[in-house]
Amino acid sequence: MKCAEVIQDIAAAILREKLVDGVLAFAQGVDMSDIVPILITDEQDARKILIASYQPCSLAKLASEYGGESKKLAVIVRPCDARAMVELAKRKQLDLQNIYSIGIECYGVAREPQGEIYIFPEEMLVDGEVKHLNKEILSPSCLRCEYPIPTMADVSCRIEKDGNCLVAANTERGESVLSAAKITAQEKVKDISPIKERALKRQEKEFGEIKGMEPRERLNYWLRQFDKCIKCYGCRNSCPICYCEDCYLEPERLLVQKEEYPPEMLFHITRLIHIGDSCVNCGQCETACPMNIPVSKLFHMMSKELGVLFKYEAGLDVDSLPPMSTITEEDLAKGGVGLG
Amino acid sequence: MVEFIPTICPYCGAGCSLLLEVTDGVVVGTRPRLGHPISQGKLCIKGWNAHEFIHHEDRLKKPMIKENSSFKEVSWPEAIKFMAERLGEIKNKNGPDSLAFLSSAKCTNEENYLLQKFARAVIGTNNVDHCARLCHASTVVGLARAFGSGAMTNSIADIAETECIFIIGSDTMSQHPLVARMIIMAKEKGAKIILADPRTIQVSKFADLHLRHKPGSDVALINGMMKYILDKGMEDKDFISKRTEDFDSLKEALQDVSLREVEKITGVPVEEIEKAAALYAKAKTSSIIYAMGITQHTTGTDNVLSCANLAMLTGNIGKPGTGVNPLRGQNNVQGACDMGALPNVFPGYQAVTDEGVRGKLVEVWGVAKLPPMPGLTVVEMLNSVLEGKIKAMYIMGENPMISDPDISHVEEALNSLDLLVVQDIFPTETARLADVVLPAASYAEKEGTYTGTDRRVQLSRKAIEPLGESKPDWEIICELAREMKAEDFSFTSPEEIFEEIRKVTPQYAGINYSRLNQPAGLQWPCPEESHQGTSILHGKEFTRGKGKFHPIVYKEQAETPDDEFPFILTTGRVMSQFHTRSMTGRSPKLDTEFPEGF
Repeated sequence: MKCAEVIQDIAAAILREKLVDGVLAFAQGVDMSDIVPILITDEQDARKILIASYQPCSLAKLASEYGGESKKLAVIVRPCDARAMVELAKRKQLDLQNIYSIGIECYGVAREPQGEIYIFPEEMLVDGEVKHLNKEILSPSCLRCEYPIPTMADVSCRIEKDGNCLVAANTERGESVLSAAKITAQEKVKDISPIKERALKRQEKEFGEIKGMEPRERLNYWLRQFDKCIKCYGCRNSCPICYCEDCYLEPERLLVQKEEYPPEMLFHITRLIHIGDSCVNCGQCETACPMNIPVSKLFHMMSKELGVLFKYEAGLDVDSLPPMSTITEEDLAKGGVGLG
Repeated sequence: MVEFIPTICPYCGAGCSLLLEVTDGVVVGTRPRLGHPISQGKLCIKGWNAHEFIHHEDRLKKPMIKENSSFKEVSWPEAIKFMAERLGEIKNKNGPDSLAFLSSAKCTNEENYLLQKFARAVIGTNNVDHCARLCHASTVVGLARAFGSGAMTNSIADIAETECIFIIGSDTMSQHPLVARMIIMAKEKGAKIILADPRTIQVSKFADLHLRHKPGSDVALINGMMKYILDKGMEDKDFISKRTEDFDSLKEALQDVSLREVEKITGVPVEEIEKAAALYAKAKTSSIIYAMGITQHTTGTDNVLSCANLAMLTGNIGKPGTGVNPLRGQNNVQGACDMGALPNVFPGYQAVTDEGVRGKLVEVWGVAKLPPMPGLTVVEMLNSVLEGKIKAMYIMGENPMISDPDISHVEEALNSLDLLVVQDIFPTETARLADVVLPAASYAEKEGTYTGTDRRVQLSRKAIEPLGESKPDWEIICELAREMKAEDFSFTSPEEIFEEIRKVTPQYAGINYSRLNQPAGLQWPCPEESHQGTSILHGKEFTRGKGKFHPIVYKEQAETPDDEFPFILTTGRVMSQFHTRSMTGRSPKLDTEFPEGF
């Protein structure tokens, strides 16, 4: 069975069985080039769900907005969404006990709509011929992604190259979802080490270009990028980890000077300090940026740097808190950033 | 219940699409729409907060009639009956030309179409205009004279593909942020940016050359550039001979131009003028972008014609990456012009003086005759009020008490009317002076089409029901017209109105609602249903046949600084406020960003 159909069946079943009150997913907008989020509450509407070739917004962020104790949701997620939900759970913005996550194995989404391609496995049989995922059209953050399999989700769905779907339950809740949908789990271990290796190489290249610069040159590079900023707040608005209702960047907080364009560097640096340890590299900030500032690259690089220092990886374990909230004076000394 | 409804941003003319996030009948947020060709999943701060004013407590929710200088809430039938009687009385007593109408660049095409039809067919006057008069009327006139069509020649996305961009009088990053995106993209692909602007603005940071010419010296600057291009033989001779006319008159006018003199007038060193001219002329493709910095002058039309001259001189028109690209200010100012909310033209820029056109419209509109003489412009209307010629004004979605020059003059004029009707979503400064205030529905509460600056006709969907007793403007106009026993105002949906628009507007003939059911909409001219729309104008030939050069001689501004008034003031726009701030001033996130300056 095709992946979209499997997911539609799962959505219909868990709504029917009242495991959840709603399912967050993507659906067609006015035509097939127009993918929009949808919150389904009627099982009849489950057929509207589709698997998009691009990620119009973070469903994790919508889940924290719409979900709650009285409104249990299922969310159709990519691994980066699943990781963002873990980070939101750490920040008490959602309770994973109230959310079922149905993950899709993902080897990258397109930067922009790419006609009628709606599934994205690594390779795909098209008219009997194996076609490989076109890396040219992928979002830059996807090329750096080490997590193609949504192991943090309750259920993960793998699209095989013939288009069929293999389903696995990662948690007990995932098993209950599959039994509600009368789907048999088909475990099949997949070696993702080549993907991981490729992603790390890519990170090394992209981050290396930045790190290879002299400090002054590096600063200038980012200042030049920030010069393009029109302070639309799109990066913040789209970031699944940015959750503060009362945000430091707002003009009434008097941190960033109002009426000033481009905003001073503090605008970006403040956000970086605030959530730079927890970036899940979903790329939403960059997708939202009208000026193509490589925000995701900066945040991903920062979280990776901190990850090495603090042996921390964002978005994997809900019990492992971000360095910013667990940091000790001893830790500070380690990175040569002592306060003294 | 949560829904994401595709609408068109209610602010600038870029034509971004956004999704309104609706929870149980309340618009709670805005999200970008990744599948849209202009916004491409990005928005500026205004777009991100386009939902904030919709449910503001100030929204007008009931019709009101002023009695003894205070407003009394009335029912719709009462308000409509009152207006129909008063408008009828004034028309009978003082003639149709004693009434004047201001249409709205914020309303849909359907609504603008209906208001001008009401003015012309029901009242019998061409006194209908709108705020385009204060921004790009000089574009509509200038480009129509030079090319035959007064609209942006190329498309927004096309800007990213050019090799050289000449920006004059446009603070693009503040005024049209998503168009500025294309400038930045072009720059990052290696395009050269020439900025001509007296101020240092954000675009200055990316400009290869920033010419800080004195306000009002645009014609001199462009003439200087053209003079140098001709002197160095950098003009496109082939294009000039095959595609244009009256080149000799331009050449003759430029003969006496001296770059030293231009330096004196503009304050820009000769070397920089030469450099700019060479960059623009030598690039494989060069695009001109301009906005109100050149149109809001007493010499606005001259400035526009100069841009047209420069583009034709170098053959930079009619192909990708080129063109003369005015950036229109409001989300539907292009559409309001297209729909004939102008005193001299019917829909599709067909002259009211043209008997053949009137004959066609008389038939479609089912009236005996239509007024043959052009009506009054915004500015003339207000002057005529004080001369006692205009007795009643009907203002739909405009706020001249802030947007027009000389506000005390506007106030005096509006106060001396026998009848002032204001149809708006908020109690604006203008609405406070009205005798009748009609509560209109906001963009989120109605369906209809808007035409962006690159002639892109797009369908905006209804996200929620009209608030309180407010009604979409098209419904109000229809009800009023029916009360006045007008034929042919029996429309029951915007789509029905659009079907009539297609019949009388040649550029829109091939567009219908089902064809607009795609994120990109359709760019006019689209003459028939099989036509894919036009992304670049004047490809094989100009709309008027040959492109026409106009010899333009530099003229000083009408008012120049002197001892008594030593300052030069200029107009501009800021990022987070919009026009008279009736909407942005009621959007907390936008108002806090820029609370001063109004």
